[in-house]
Amino acid sequence: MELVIQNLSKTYSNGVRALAGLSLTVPNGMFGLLGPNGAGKSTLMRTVATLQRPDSGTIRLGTLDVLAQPDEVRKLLGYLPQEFGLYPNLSAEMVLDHFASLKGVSVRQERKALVDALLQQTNLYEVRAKRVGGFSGGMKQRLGIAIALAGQPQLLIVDEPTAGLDPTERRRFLNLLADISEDVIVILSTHIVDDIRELCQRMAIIDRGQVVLAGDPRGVIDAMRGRVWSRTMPRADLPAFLASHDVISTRLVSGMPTVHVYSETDPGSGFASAEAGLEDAYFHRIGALTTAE
Amino acid sequence: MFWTILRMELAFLRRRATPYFYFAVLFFMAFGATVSDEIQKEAGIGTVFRNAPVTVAQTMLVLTVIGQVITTAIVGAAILRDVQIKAHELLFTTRVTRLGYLGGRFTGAVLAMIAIYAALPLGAMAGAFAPWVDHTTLEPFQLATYARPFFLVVVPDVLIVSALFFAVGALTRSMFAIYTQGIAFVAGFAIARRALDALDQRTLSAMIDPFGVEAYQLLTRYWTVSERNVRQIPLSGPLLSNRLLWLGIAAAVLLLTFALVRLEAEPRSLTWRGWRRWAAAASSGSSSPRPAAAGTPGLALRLPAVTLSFGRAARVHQLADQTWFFFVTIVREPLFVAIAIIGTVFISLSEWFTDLQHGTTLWPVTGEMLATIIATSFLFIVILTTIYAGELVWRERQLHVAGTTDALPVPTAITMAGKFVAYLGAMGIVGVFSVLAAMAVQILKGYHHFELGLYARGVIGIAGPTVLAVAALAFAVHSVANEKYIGHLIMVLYFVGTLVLDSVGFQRVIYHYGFAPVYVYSDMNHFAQYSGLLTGLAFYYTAGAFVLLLIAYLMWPRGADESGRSRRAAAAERWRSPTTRLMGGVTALAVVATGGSVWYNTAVLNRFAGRKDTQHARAAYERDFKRYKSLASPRIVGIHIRADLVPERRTMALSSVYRIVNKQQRPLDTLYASISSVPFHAGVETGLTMAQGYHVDSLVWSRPAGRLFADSARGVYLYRLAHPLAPGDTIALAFGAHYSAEGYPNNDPNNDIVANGTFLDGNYFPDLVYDDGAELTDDDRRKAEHLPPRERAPSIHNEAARANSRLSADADWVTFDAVVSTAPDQIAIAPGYLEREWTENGRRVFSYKMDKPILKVFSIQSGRYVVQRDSNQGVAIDVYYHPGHQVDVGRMIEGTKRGLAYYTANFSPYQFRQLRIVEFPRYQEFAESFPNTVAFSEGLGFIARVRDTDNDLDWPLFVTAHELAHQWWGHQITPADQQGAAVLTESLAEYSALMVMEGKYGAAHVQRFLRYELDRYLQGRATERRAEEPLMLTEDQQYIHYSKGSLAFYALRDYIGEDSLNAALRRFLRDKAFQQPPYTNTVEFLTYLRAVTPDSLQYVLHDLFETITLYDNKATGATATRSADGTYAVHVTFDARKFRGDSLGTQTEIPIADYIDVGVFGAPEKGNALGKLLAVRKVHVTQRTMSADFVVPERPSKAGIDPFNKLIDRTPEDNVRTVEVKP
Repeated sequence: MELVIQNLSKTYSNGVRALAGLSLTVPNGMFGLLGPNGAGKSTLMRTVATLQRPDSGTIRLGTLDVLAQPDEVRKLLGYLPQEFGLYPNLSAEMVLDHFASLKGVSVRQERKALVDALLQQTNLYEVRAKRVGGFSGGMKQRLGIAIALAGQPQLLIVDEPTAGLDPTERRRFLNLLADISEDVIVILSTHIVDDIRELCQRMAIIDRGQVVLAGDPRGVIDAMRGRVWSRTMPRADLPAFLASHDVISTRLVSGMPTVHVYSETDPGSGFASAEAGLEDAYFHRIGALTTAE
Repeated sequence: MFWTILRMELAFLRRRATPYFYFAVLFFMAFGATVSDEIQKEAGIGTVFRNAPVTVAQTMLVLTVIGQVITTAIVGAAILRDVQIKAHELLFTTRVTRLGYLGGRFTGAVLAMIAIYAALPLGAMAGAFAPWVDHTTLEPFQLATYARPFFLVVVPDVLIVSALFFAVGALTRSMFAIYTQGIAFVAGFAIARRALDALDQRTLSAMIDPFGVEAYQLLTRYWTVSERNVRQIPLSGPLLSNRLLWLGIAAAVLLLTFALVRLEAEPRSLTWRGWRRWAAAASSGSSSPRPAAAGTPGLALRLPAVTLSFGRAARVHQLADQTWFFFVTIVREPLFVAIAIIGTVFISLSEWFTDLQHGTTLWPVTGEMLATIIATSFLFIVILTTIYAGELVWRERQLHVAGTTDALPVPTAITMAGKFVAYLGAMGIVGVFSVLAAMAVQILKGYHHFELGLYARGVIGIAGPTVLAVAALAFAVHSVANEKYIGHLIMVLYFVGTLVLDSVGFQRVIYHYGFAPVYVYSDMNHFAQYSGLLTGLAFYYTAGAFVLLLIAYLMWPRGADESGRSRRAAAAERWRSPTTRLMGGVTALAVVATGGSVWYNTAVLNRFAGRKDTQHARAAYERDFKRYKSLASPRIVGIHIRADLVPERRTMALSSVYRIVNKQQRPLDTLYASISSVPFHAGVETGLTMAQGYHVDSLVWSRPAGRLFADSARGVYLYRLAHPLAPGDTIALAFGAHYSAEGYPNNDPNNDIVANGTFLDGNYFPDLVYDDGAELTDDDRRKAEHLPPRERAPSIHNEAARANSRLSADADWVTFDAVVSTAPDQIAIAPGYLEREWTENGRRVFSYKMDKPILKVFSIQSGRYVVQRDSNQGVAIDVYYHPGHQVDVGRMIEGTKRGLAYYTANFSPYQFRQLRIVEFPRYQEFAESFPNTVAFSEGLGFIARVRDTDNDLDWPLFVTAHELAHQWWGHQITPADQQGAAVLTESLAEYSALMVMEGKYGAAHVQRFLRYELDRYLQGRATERRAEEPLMLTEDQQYIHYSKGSLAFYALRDYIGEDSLNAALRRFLRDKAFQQPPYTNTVEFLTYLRAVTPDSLQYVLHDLFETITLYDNKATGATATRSADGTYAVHVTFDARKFRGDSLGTQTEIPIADYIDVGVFGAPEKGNALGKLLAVRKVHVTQRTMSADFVVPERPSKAGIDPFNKLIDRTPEDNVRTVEVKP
C-alpha cells in the first residue's frame, strides 16, 4: 500500500499558509518527516488523519480517497497526535479497552487479550489499574502509542512522539516503533534528526508547507559526503566569516565556535573536511542558522 | 506588589466582555422589575410607590441573591485563572508575596463585582425615570432610597459571598469545588428559609441568612403602606447584627485563607479531591515499576490477532460500550455526585417541610412527595443538564483526547448517542435516589404506604420527558454554539424563560417546551383529568428531543478545524446522507403530529383564553350587562335539582325547577336569568375555558314569556312576560343543561366533575340577577379597561343593601330537594336528608330533601366513599372519606361533637338532625359549610399530621369546629351584603372554634394559635392594597375578619367574660336567626355587645371593632427577691403606648387608660414557652411607664405586660423578659 499526497494546500483563517501545494509519496515502512516548527508537519498529519480538510489537493491511501472516504480510512488508521490528553480519572486498562472497542474490536475476549498484550508491550502492564491522570510523560506517550497500535492499523501516524521525553523513555519509545511490522505505513514526524536516522527507511524534509528534500536517510547523507567542512575560530572573527560563507551551522565546542560550511571544494583558510551527518543535510536544506549546545 | 496585582486584575477584567455583559444583565433586570406592572404587583404593591424605599430595596435584594451566579464567574475565575492557564509556577517564583497576590486578586475581583452590582441601583433609578411609567405610581427621587440598600446590603453581600468563594477557590484550586459550593450555598439558603419559617425561629433565620434578606424582611414585615413609602431601611436590629456577624465571618475566612494558602505548584490537600489526588500520586509513585532496561530493537511487535468488525452488530456494541463508558465517567465525577446529593437533600428537605398551616404538617403521601420531586427537581435538572451537556459535548476537546477519538472509525452519531444515553442513565440514577430519599422521609415520618407504581409513573412519565427534552435541548445548544460559555448562557436564558414566559404573554403549553408540567395529583382521583395533558406533553417533548438531537448531530464538532465554515460544511455533508434525511423527515413529522395533538386539545377542543383575553371579556361583560343590576327581580322560594352525573366520562346532565315569587311591591314584566358563573368561573383567571362543553338546553318559564335577548356564550338571558307578574304571584323556571369534558385544556381542566370526588355548587345553576362575580376586581386591570374602581362591599350606611344577604340577591330562604344519579360504585350527597336510594338504568340514584327552608347555597358531591358514622345528642354525624384517609376522621368527629355541645349550650339549638363531612379532591384547598353538609378538601384536613406529643395545632378539629359553627354563623345568622358582613360569619366562626379548641387543649394551645393570627394580621395590613378597615367594616379582607377577628373576640371574651359574650351572642341569635330582609349587620351586632359590656370597658369595643388600634407594650425590667417564707416578691416595670392607625397605616399615639394583663411565670412547661402561670392581673395603665408588684409562691422566670399577646402589638416578643432573681 502506498500513501500518495498531491498538491495539498491549506491556508488558515488567520492567514497562515500551512501547506503550499505539497506532494509526497509514502510507501510501506517507517517514513520520517523532518522540519522546523511551523513547517506544516502537524497540518499535514492531521489532514491525512481525516481530522481536517485541505483547501485543495488529493490524498490517496491505496485505492482509498482519504478526503472523500474518511470513515474507511479511519478503519485503517492509528494516530498519535503531537499533544493529547486522556481521561484522567480512568485506569489505563479502561482507556485502552474503550479505544479498542471503538476501533472495532468487538469480541470481548479478543479485546481483553489485545489490551493485555499492548500493555505488556508498552511496559504498562504493572500500572494498568492506575489512574491515567497520575502518569508521567513517558508513560502517557507509551499509552498513546498503545492506543494508536490497537486494531491492526495499516497507516500509523505519530506526530513528534519523543518531544519532552527523557533519554531512557525516548529510547524505549523508539524501540517500540521499530518493532512495528514493515507492512504498515508509519509516518513519524519529528524535529530530532537522530530519530529519523535511526529508524526510517525513507524521509522527507518539509519547510514552509513544501517538501524540500525526499529520499532515504543514507542517500541524503551520502549526497553531503565530502561537501561539509569544519573549522574552529575565535568569537571575534565569527561575524565577518558568517557574512562571506555558506554556513550550515555554528556550534560551540569547548567554548570555541566551530563552524560547518557547505562547499563542493575545499574552502581553504584552515577548514578541514568533516564527517557529513543528516543534521548537516537538514540545516543546509532549510537554510537555518542555529547555534546549539 | 499588591498594587501591581490589583492593577493587573482590573486591567484584565476591563478588557473582557463578560463583566460588561453581567452589568447589562443586572441593569436590565433591575430596570425591568421597576417598570413591570406584573412584578410590582407580585410584590404586593398597590398603594406603595414604585420607587418607595422598601420596593427598591426588595428588588435589589432579590436580584443580589439571584446574581450570585456572577460571583462564581468573576471571583472564582480570579483565583483560579493562573492555575488554569498554568502560569502559576511562573508567577509564584517571582517576588510576589502571599498577601500581595491574594489581596490584589481578591480586591480586584471585589471592586469589579461592586462595579457590576452598581447596575442594580442604576437600573432601578432608570426604571423610575422611564417615560412610559405612570407618574402617579412614583414619589420624588431620593438618593438614599438607592444608596442605603446598596451600601447596607448589596455591597456587604458581595464582600461576604466573594470572600467565601475566594477562600474555597484559593484552597482547592478547583472550579468544581467552587461550583459545588455555589450550588450548596443557594440551596442551603433556600432550605434554611423553609426550615425556619416557623414564627419563633425567625430571629435565628434572620441571623443565618448570609444575604441579609431574612433580616431585612423581619425588620420591615409589619411596615404599613405609609411607612413603606417614607421609611428608609434602618441599619438596626436584626439587619445590623446580621451584617456584623457575616462580615465578621467573611473577614475570618479571608484571614484563614491568607494563613493557609501557599504559593506552591500544588494546593494543600484540604479537600476530598485534593486528598485523592495526593493519595493517588503517592501510591503510583511507590508501586511504579522501575524503568526497565530499554527494550531490544529488532524483535517484531507481538500482538494477538483480532477481528475487526464494523457491521451493524458492531455499531450496537460500540454504542453500548460508549454509553457505559460515559456513564461511568459521569457518575464518578465529584461535581455530578455533589450536585446530585445537594439536589436530593434539597428535595427531601422540601418534602420534610411540607407545612400545612401554623406549624402543622401533612402526612407525606406519595402524590405529594412526587409533586415535590417534580417541582423542585426542575431547577436541578436544568443545572445538571446545562453543565453536563456542556461537559459531554466538549469533554474530548478539553482533555485533548479529541485528536485521538475523532480519528477513530466510529460514526459521529454513535458517539453522540452514547453520551446522550449515558447522561439519561445518570439522571435515572438521580431519579432513583430522589425516590429513595422521598421514601426515607416517609419512613422517618412514620408513613408506610409506599406507592412504587406512582413513583415510577411520576419519575418516568412526567419528569422523564422533561429530562429528555432539556437534555436534548442542551446537547443541541452546546453543539451549535461551539463555545461553552455561550451554550451555558443560552441555557440560562432558557431557564429564565421558564420563569417569565408565562407572565409576558406566552401562556400556551406548546411554547413551554421542556417545562415541568403543571398538574394536581389527588389520592382520590389520581392523575385523572390531567393525564391527557401529561401524556400529550410527554409525546411532544420526546418528539422534539429527537429533532434537537438531529440538530446536535448535524453540528456535532469533529476534527481539528473548528471554524464555522468547516463545521457548516461538515453539517451539510452529514445532511446529504439519506438516512439522516429520513430521520429528519420522520422526527419533524413526529413533532408536527404530537405538537398538533397538543394544539388540537388546548386550542381547538378547548378554546384558550389568555390573561388579557379574559380581562377584556370580563370588562366587556360588565359594560354590557351591569345595567341589569338594578333590574327588580322576583325571589326564588323553592329549588328542585336533578343531576345525572357520569363521572366515568366526566359528563353530566343538570336540570332544576325553581319556584319563584314576586316579593316586590309592584308587578314585574322583565325577567333576567344568568349562568355567567360557568363561563366566568369565579376565581379562575382564565376561566373562559370552563364554558367549553357546557350547553344550556332549556330555560322555560311557567307563564308565557318572550325571549328579549340571549347571549349563550356569556350565559345572559332576558325575557318579557306576556302578563306582568303581580306582587305575591308565583312563577316557575325550568332549566336544563348538559356538560361533557373533551380532550384537555391549556390550563387546569374542569375539576368539578371528575372520575371520583365530583363537587359541584350552585354556580352550575341559574341566578335571576346580574352576576357581579364575573367582574374584574383588580384595580389596575379595571383601570386598564377604563372601568371605575369597584366597591369591595356596599357601605354599612347603605340601607338599601340590607335587602339582600351576602349570599344571594335572588333568594332569601328556600325549600330544597335534589335527586342525584351517579356511578353504581359511588355515593352522591346533596343538602337535606336521604329520602330514598335506588338503581335506575344501572345508575345509583339518591333523593335528598330538606325539611325546613335553607339559604340558596347547595352542593352536589359524588365519590367512592367510606362512611364513618357517629352521633351526638340525637344529631347524626357522618364522615364520607376516601379509603385510606381515615387518619384524621376521629379528630373531625370529635370537633363536631365538641362543637355541637358548646354551640347548642351557649348559642342556640342546631337546626338540623344531621351533619355530614364530605371529602373532595385537593384541586382546591378549603372547607365550606353547606346546610347540614361540610365539603372538606382532601389536602386541608384529611392528611394532616397532628402529633399530640409535639403539641401540633389540631387543624382538622379546628377547621371542623369552624365549619360547624357556620351552621349558626351563616346558616342561622345571615348578614346583609354590607361592610362587616364577614364578622358575623367568619370572625364568629373563628371565635366558636377557638372555644372548642381551648376546651380540648387549654389556653396555651389557643394562645400559640393566636400568635400566628397576630402575625397574619400584621403582615396582611402591611400588604393591603387599598385601605385597612376597622373590624366592623371589613370588606373581603381575610387578614381582618379571620385573623384580627379571632384576636378581637378572644380579647373581648377575656375582658367581659365568656358568659357575658355568649349571652350577647345568644340574644343576637334569638332576635336575628332565620330572619327575612332587611338583614342584620355589624352595627346592630355591636348594640348586643354593648349591652353586656360594663361602662369601664366600653372603650374596648371601640378599640377592637370601630377603630384600628395598636399597642407598643414592652417589659423594661423584672426583679424578684426571695422572702423568708419562700415566696418571691416580683417587681415588673414596663412601657405601654397606644396608637390609632388610619387606613394607610399612619399611626398616631393616643393617651392610654387601659386595663392590660401583667403577669409572672415560672419554669417553662411543655407546649408553653412562657412557663407556668404564677400570677396575672389586669393593671389599669394610665402612663407610658409604669410598674406592678406581685408575690408569687415559686421561683419566677419570666414576667411582663400583655404576656399572652391579647392586644395587637407589632413587637410582641418584647412583652416579657427574664426575671432577675436577687439572692
